[in-house]
Amino acid sequence: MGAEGLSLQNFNEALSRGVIAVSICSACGRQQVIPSVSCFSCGATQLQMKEHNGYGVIFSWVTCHYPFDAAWQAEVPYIVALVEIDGGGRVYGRLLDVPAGFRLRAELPVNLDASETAAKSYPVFRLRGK
Amino acid sequence: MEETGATERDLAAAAINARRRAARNPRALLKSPLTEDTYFREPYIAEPFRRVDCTVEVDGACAVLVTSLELARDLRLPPALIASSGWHTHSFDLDMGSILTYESGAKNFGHFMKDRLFAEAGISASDLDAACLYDCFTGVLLQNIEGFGLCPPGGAGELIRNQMDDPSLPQINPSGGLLAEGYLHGINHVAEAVWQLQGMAGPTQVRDCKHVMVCSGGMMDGAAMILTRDARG
Repeated sequence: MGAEGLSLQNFNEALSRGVIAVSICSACGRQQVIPSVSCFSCGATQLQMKEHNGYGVIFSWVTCHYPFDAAWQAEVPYIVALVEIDGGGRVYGRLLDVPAGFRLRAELPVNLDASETAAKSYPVFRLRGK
Repeated sequence: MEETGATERDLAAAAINARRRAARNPRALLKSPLTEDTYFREPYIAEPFRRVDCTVEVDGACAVLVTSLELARDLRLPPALIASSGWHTHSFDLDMGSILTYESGAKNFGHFMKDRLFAEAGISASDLDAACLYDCFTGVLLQNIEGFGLCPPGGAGELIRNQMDDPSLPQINPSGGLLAEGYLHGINHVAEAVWQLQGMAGPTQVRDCKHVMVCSGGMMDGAAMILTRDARG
């Protein structure tokens, strides 16, 4: 880790522990979630990996009525949200337990559900205060 | 939709326009008519996109011959001229990755390149007779119409509804576009634009077509051209 940036392997290993791993650019300070060897802002390759607290807000979302993977057939319709995490950077994840009839909108606060994330090995979020 | 107030009815307009124009295009794959009523009965795939909001995958090919104006004028068919062209990207990311970093969906790549594109061609968006705009999904067509300034943000649905019956407005995707002609990754938009300027578009021909815009891409990365009819032709 450290100066190697954030690899897909590091990212997935963190998810298996229920954590989102991010990288912070040593040159410009930008935080990004996408596993990469370089900073999307300035191109620098000195990136420090860090574990994030999983808090953020909804940037966008879709409700999937057709499963991306056949294994998720029983779960449709499910919500995939693009979450902007505190400190910057976006990550896709499932959004669970949205009450029926609840109108989602951008900027609603969410946080990572660590145990669900670890169980699924992909980010799982819940609305905060719901 | 969150940013511009676009509605599902605006998405419907894009899908309806595609089918209505494809009905006249012998090459088009999806020609069955669509109305707002039938649109809203279509199943969601990834809400707000229904089945008819998504392009149809197809095998096919187009060839475009690019050469000098001098040689082009020597050929049998009248040429279309590239009045301006450009490509815009965003940050260090590519294609779908830009979804993770863009600031606003209402300001896609077109927003950042439109001024130069139209200035180099010496025309404005209102001078376009037709626009062949990348439409892998209906929402992307709205983004391109608004990004390239054919109407103000949030106005694409209304423009699509109006241009269907008003030939004085730029005719949007006269072939039916990727949504209904078929998804050839946008090269069929280039072919359609050239045919429009050559007067060879047949049943989808836009009357007295002099200026056509073509674009490929929808989010933060993409390319666009303005093609014009050869004034000598």
